[in-house]
Amino acid sequence: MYEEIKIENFRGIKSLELKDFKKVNLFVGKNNCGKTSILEAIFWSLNPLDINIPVSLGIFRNFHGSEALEISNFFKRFETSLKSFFYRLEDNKISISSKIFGNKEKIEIEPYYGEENILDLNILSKKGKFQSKEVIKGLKFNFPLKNIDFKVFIKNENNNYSFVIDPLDLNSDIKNITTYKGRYLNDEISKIGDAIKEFSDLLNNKKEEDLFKLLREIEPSLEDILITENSNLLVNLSGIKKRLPFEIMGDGFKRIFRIAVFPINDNKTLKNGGVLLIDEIENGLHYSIQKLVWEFLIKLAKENNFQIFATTHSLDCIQALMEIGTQDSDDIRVYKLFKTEEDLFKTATYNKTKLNIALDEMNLEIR
Amino acid sequence: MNKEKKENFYCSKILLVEGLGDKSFFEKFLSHLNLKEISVIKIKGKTENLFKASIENVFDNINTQGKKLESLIFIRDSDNDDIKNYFKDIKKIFEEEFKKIFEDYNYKFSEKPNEISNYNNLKTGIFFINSNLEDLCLKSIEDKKLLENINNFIENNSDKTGWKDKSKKYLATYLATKEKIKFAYEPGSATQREIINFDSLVFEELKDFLIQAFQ
Repeated sequence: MYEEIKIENFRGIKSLELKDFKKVNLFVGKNNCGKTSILEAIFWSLNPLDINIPVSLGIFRNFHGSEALEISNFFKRFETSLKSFFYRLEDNKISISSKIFGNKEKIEIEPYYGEENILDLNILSKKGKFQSKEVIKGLKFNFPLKNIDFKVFIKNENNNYSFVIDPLDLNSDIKNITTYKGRYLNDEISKIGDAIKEFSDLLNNKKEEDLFKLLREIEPSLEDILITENSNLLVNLSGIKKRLPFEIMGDGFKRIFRIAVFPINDNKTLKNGGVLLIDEIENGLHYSIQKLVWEFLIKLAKENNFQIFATTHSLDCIQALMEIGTQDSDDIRVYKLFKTEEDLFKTATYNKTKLNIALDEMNLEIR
Repeated sequence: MNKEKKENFYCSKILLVEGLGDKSFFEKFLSHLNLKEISVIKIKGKTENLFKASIENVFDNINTQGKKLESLIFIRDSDNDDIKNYFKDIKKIFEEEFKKIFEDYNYKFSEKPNEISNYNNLKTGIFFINSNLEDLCLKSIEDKKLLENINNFIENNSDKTGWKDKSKKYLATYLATKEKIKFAYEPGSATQREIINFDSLVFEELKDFLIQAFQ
């Protein structure tokens, strides 16, 4: 169980501490108050040795966009996305302390500007976007509790880019570091391409029926979904002679498909102690089916023993979560976040009783 | 679930009451006294757990808006309870919940019922209405002949109102004589229809308390 986190100098968060996480944790608050950054910090802290995570986090935020198809553009944008990890784009050390399964963990991350950065400067200064100090080459990691340091950076030789880990013989130290399992879902990462791969596995393992059952709640005539040789999805609806392309289905149908296919299939990263992170869980979902989605995810989380962290702006989504009659109502927590002008956080924590009183009796605005 | 528009406490002055009827009554009363920018919040007070959760919600709401509290007042019916002990219990819950959420806040709650404490720019107080608000409203009615008739009516007719509380039953019947409305049965409805005379002497103690708390 991921129990608590303290985040410093990460994204828009100067300092924030959250404790007493439960099986299902929902973060609410105004735009730009740091909800997504909390999910990102949790995700990073689960497996800080995974050097793909800084890249993934840039992709989640759509830093790379369509320009990233060209490799040199990808790296230019990647440098910008590295800078964006740091609070106010300054050089203060990021620190993420956590307690996971009773273990205290801590990572510290600093910008790495490189020993010599002439090559990159030539490329980037053409657009006049960066001064020399501002060109981040990579990140310096430190694990103070384990006494391990290493750097991950981009090397550019004649426009041939590569990731470098320094020191290269880090492997022996890495063995001493425990890492945890997590899966991050948002609109970017759960685009249909990835979902098709997961769905293919689901079909191979004959586990598609749970997904279909959920999808039938919004499309009762659904019979099945198939994958073509060209990796396209075709939907079979009763009463329609031809199979329909997946793309013409409604947004809610497609969104549920994406949200559900990953956790159903994902025994590797979620089963027995994993963490599922879902940004803006309500996106594209009509309020009437949000309860179904929560019920589905919570049932799956209980069966496979994983934890859920999600964000939302939607009151319907909060209410849907609270309406679920879980046997143990203490499994659910809602965290309201408020960021002051000084970038400090005020938080309020709600269990089911307190939230029901706030919403039903006192008619409070808690989003 | 309640689908009405949700409300925040937009004001730094808070009046806590029990029930929607009391909320409407006090909103009107405060406006009559020309006391402005006060959020009247209805809380749940039937059991200690629900009361605690309500108070925690109040403080959380203030805290997560980055507000500084100026007045925190709770007005409730005494319902012939042991006021001294009840006050002690309520004060304890207020203090505990306050401490949980505003760790650094230097405060001191009022020591006695129906008294305002003003400490470090925070006014606090818990007011117990003698008996209940319905009773107070009934006492403010000057038409004693009508009240007598209502009494006779209630004594001689089987009860169809469903009210167990005598004051509530009286007030409901009184209000039914005033307008042809089905559910004009509580202080809130009465104030909305301007039937209650706020200048009556029976409201004097309550009026003084509110002025001291919010002026």
